[in-house]
Amino acid sequence: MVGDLDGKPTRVGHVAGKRAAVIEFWATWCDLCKELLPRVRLAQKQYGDRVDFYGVNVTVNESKARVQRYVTSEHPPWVTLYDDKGVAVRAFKAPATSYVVIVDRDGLIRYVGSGGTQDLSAELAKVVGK
Amino acid sequence: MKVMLALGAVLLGAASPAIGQGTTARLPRVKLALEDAPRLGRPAPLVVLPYATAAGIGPVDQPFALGKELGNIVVLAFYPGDFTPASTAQWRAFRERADSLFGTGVVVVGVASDSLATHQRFAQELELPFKLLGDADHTVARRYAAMNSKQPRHMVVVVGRDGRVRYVDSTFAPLDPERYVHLATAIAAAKERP
Repeated sequence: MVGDLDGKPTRVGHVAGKRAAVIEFWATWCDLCKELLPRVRLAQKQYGDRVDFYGVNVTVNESKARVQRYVTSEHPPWVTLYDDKGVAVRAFKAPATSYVVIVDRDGLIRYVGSGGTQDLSAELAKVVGK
Repeated sequence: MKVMLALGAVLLGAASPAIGQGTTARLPRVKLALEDAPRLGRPAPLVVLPYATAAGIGPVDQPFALGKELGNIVVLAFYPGDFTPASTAQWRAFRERADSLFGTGVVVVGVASDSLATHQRFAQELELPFKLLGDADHTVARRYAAMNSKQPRHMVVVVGRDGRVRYVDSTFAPLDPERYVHLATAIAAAKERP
């Protein structure tokens, strides 16, 4: 269970059995995340009707106010979560920011990767079809 | 892993004397590995390495020597390499939270195999107030059992004022806020000791 920026708890794993999900571990200071953002926007535009998008802020070197400012100015195309207890980081063993996990509607992890040039649209096509 | 394998070999050797001379012949190297890995309460393994800071490369004839830090608490932070995403996250966190994590009387040093010039660039870019040690051939990382297959993993060791190992997080996770809490607690506990 990870809270959003208002503290409302969200169960990321709850999507299993319902919809596929893209989960990105990110931070405002992460250059690779900024590089990846246009690809996340494109993927959300293409698959947002079938896939949930979560952006898990790792909170290391962050403040909630800074994350809030970033979200307000950049409007990242995901539900922003603030993982200040590291629950999701541990659950998904996230090794670095820009780490992306794609979970299919059965709850199976179908893709993991990191870096600013991940082709999320192509990966999602394999999971949910074009 | 090396230590676990070594321990297994020792136990196997002890429990199965009939296993033969081949096993016995390898024991001296195994024993060395067991003695060198950092163990709580035991003297920290030797560290003498050249270093770089944001200001420049340290004098060749004055490397960082753990043995000269008696009286200080030392945090040895092994990491895979400069400019890697996870390492960058870790060192940013160490810099930004230096006061609350470490406080006074604590010497923090990084250990990775990058060149000293790369260490200096990394320290400059992140404005790190720490020494980064050049462990070019992984000698110290191996001594501390901090290696994955080919490169060091994230691992944090706290050495007390008396030169003894007080805390080991052998799988430090730079994105996990709890690991920093545990580290701060360990350092605070080390400060309680004479």
